[in-house]
Amino acid sequence: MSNRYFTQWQEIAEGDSGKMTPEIILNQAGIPLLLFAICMVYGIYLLVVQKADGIRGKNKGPLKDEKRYARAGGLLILFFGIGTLVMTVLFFINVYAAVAEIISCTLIMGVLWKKVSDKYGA
Amino acid sequence: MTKTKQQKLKDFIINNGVIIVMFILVIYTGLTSSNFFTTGNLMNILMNMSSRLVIALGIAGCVITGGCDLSAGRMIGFGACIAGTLLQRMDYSGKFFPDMEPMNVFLVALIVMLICSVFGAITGFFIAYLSVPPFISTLAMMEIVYGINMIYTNATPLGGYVKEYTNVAGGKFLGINYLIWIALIVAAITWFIFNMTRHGKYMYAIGGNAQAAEVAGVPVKKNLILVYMKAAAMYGLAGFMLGAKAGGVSVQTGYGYEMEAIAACTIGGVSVTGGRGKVSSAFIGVAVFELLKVALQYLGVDANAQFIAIGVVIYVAISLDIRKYVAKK
Repeated sequence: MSNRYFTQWQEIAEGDSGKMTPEIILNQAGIPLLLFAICMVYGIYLLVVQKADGIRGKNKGPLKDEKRYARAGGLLILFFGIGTLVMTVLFFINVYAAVAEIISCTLIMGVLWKKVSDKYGA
Repeated sequence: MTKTKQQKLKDFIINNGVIIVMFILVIYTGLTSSNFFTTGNLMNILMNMSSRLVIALGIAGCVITGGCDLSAGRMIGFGACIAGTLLQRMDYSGKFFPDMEPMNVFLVALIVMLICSVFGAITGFFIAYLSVPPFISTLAMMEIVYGINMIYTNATPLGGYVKEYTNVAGGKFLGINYLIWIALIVAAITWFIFNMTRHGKYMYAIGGNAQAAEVAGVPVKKNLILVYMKAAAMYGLAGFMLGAKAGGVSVQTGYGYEMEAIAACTIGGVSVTGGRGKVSSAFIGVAVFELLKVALQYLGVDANAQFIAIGVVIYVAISLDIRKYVAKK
C-alpha cells in the first residue's frame, strides 16, 4: 500500500521531466509550506512580543501570567509549524505516515495547550 | 451626544463603503455590457452563489462566536469526494467502488453532512475544552481532513456521476434550480437557529463576551462544539452541491473557499470581532462578492488582476469592520 503511494507522489513530484523541480514541489506543497511560514512568523511574534491578545481574542479575562502564556503559546505554534513542514515532506514519501504525523502533532498540541491554559490562563 | 445628519451620512458611507462601490461597479458593468442584466446571467450568478451562501452561513456562525474556520475549504473537498465516490455510474470505467451500486442521493447528502459534522465536533472540542485558539485548531483540522481525503481517494479525480446527482444542479422546480432552493432552505433554517432558538442567542452572547456569558450560565463549551459541528455539516452539504454542479471533483475542490466566505461575511456585516451578524449579512456579502467577480470578468479584467481586486476588497472590508469595533469601544 505504502509503495503505491510512494510511487504516486514520486510521479507527481517528478513530473514529466523526471526531476523534482522547485516549481513542481511548490505546486504540490505550496500551501502546507505557506502554513508553515505563517506558524513560524506567528510563533516568533508571540515569543518576541509576549502579548497574548492575538491568540486569546477579546473579552477573555485577565491571565495569571501573560508573558509566560504568550511564550508557551508561541512555542506550541512553532511546534505545530514544524509538524506541518514534516507532514509536507512525508506526503512525498507515505501519505499514511503524513496523516498519522499531523494527527499526533495536533493531539500533542491540544493537550499541551490545555496545560498551558490551566497553568498561565485565566 | 446625538449625531448630526451629516455625521450619520458620513458613518453610513464609511460603514457601507464596500457595498456602495460594488453596487456602482455592477450598475456600470450592466450599462456597458449588453448581456449582463439578463435572466440567464442572473440565474448563473444565483447558481454560483448557492453553494457559497451555504459555506458563508456555516462560517458566519463561527465568526459570530468570535472564532473562524479555516478548515472549510478542505472539508468541502472531502464532502464532495465522499459524495462523488458513492454516486458514480455502474458503467463508468474509473468507478471508485466498482461493485457498489450508487446510493440514494438524499442519503448520500445526509452521510456527507454527518461525516463532516464529526470532524467539526472534533474541532469544536479542541477549541472549547482544550482552549486551542480557533485559528490554530481549524488550521490543524484543515490539514488532517486533506490528508484523510488523500488517503480515501488516492488523489484520484472523480467523475461519471449518476443522473440523479447531476440533476441536483441541473433540475428545476418552479423555474428555479434545485441548488438555489437548497441554499434558500439552508438560509431559512439558519435564520431560525440564529433568531428563534436558545442556541442562537447563546452564540451571540459567546461572541459578545464569552466570560460574561459563562458567568450568566450559558453552556459555552457545548454551544461552541455545536457551532463548529453545524458549520462542518454545511461545508459537507456545500461540497455535495459543488460536486453536483461541476460533475467531477478532486481533493483540491473547494480550496480557498473559506477565505472567500470569511470575506463575504465581513463585507455583509458579520463582525470578525464576534457578537454581531445576521443571515442577511452573509447573503449580502456573498452576493456582493459574486457580483464583483462576474463584473470584473465582464469588464475584461485580467484573471490575475481579479485576485488583486478581490484582495483589496477583503482588506478594506475588514479594516472598516475593525474601525467599527474601535469606534464602538
